[in-house]
Amino acid sequence: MLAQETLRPLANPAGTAAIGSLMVEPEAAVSGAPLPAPEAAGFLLALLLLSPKEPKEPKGK
Amino acid sequence: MTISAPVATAARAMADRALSWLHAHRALGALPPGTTEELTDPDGVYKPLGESTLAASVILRDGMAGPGQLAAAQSLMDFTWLQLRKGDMLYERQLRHTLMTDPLEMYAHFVRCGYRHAELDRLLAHRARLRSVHSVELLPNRRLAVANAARIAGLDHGEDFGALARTTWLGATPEPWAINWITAYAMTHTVFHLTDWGGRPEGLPAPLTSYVRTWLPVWIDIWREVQQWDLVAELLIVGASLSEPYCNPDDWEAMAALQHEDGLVPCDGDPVDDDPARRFKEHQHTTVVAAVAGSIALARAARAQ
Amino acid sequence: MSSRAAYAAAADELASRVLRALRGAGGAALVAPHLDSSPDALAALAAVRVIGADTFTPHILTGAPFHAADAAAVARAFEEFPVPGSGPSARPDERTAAWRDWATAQLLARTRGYVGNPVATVPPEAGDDLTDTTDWQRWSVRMAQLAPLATPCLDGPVRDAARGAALPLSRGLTRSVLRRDFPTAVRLLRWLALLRHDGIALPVDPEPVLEHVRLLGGASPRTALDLAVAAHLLGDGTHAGTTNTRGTNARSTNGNGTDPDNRADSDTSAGAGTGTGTTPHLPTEAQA
Repeated sequence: MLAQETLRPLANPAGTAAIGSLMVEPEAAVSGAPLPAPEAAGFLLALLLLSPKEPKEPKGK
Repeated sequence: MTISAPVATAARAMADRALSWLHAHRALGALPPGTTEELTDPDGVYKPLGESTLAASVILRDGMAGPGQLAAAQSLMDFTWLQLRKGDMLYERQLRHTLMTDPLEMYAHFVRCGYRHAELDRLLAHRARLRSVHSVELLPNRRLAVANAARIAGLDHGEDFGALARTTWLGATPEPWAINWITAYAMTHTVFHLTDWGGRPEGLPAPLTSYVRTWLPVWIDIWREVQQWDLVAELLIVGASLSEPYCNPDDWEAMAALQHEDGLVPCDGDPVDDDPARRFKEHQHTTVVAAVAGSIALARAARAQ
Repeated sequence: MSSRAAYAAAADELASRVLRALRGAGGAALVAPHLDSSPDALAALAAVRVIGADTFTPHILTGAPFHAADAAAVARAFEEFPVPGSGPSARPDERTAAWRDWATAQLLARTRGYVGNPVATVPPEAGDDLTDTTDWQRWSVRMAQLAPLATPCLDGPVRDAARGAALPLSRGLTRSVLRRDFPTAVRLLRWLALLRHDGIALPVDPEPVLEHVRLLGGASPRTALDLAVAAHLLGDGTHAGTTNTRGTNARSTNGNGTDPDNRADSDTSAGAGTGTGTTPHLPTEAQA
């Protein structure tokens, strides 16, 4: 049998809420979607219409 | 999905205001005095000139703008044509650099709207017969760009568009989750050139159309979230260029809402500078893309009726 | 440490145990030792509620025994933390949690030898929110939260919704990988792996995604467990289980329960088998 026999059921709203939040964890709040990268710059030297401008300096993330 | 009324409304606002801005600020895109065919910084002014030309030519081709806007588009083309010394500059550059492709690529949009340069026509016809020209090692989506430009300019480069399409990233219908920022641009350009900027949606082979329809919503979503508006606007062109367009009203309205009162469309989520020259330098490209996107969506909406 | 942080740590601990069991370490009881060894009894019980249906995955996927003591421990967790109400007016998050509780209770009820108090197994009212995939982004995030239900033996409205939504799930997965949200991606991969397991055509090939997130996805125990389940469902036994590849596993559990040695000693589960009669891969109570 379990060692926790002495535990009694009791209302534990905070605990229940914590369980609920762990069950429905949201997706990551910040996206790591691909951004302009310096390695793209060489590619851009090929002159093409409507290609992106050269990426700016990487922004701090 | 066809093109809904909210999309058409957003498209018209985008195209009209973007064109107005490009036209109003065209002088900021003038070549420095004394510029010769030996461009030291081709991406600086010369390429943007070509892009403004592209926007104006698509608007004139699609004919969806009102009379005032069509006149502005024509005026913008007249301006860029004069900047290129009525084609002399393109001619000199092509004459000097046989294997370069940008003179042809820029000229094509003028040809579409009736601007011709006789010597350049002759030079391009000569060039089109050279094995060397056709054997230059270009990235596949660049090869498509040249092939489409040749098609617009009435030159037979004998390219097999279907075979070319298969050599691109998109042609491989690759894992959609393994795309990066620059490859997304390669993908948009494959669609631009195969469909001639939305003018011939059937030019995108059916399996690629199906692939793009499947994954475009994801790509728009993730780059919208990180405010890569320039890329998002290109993705909107892609959606509008499919045989069955994918134009989600929420995307179009979000893009239209970003547009500044004067018509500028910001390239990303960073603050927009107040200095007119910097505004033009940094956001002219995205504004061109927005103009093209709006025009194509309106043309598709009209064609569907 | 807040209770949430303590519960999260305990959930990781239990996930690690489940993962070891899934990889074949055993046959020993799983949940009961987790409770016995934990310095924080409440957190340990909370962890059982959080891991929920996944507590049963070694049993479901590899036929490892689910002991009566384990069942009693799961029931104990329900007693300590009763299932909150989740009527039609419940918030989406509450309904999501309710589906997870339903899944756990379903599996508990089917366990032979379990003689504890029954836990309500009435499914939450299935609303449009399960089947309306118009907002595929939000919908797929919700399905990720329902990943413990992506297991072969749990039929019901959630699985039905997934079966009809290969495209939204694939878009959600692609989106999560591109956002570099690997925990969410792995949860969605579980659903796609289940669909593939069920022979449903997918717009995206799940195997390369599996390897990709395995290489890049970080190492939280709960994510590792999701990954192992996905690998199992895709028939990749090299990382998840030892010998139970997709084919052999399917046959060993299909329709006739598992090895008698794995069973607890009696079958008293009231309500066992409700809604499960047609599934090809059942836990112990296949014939109930």
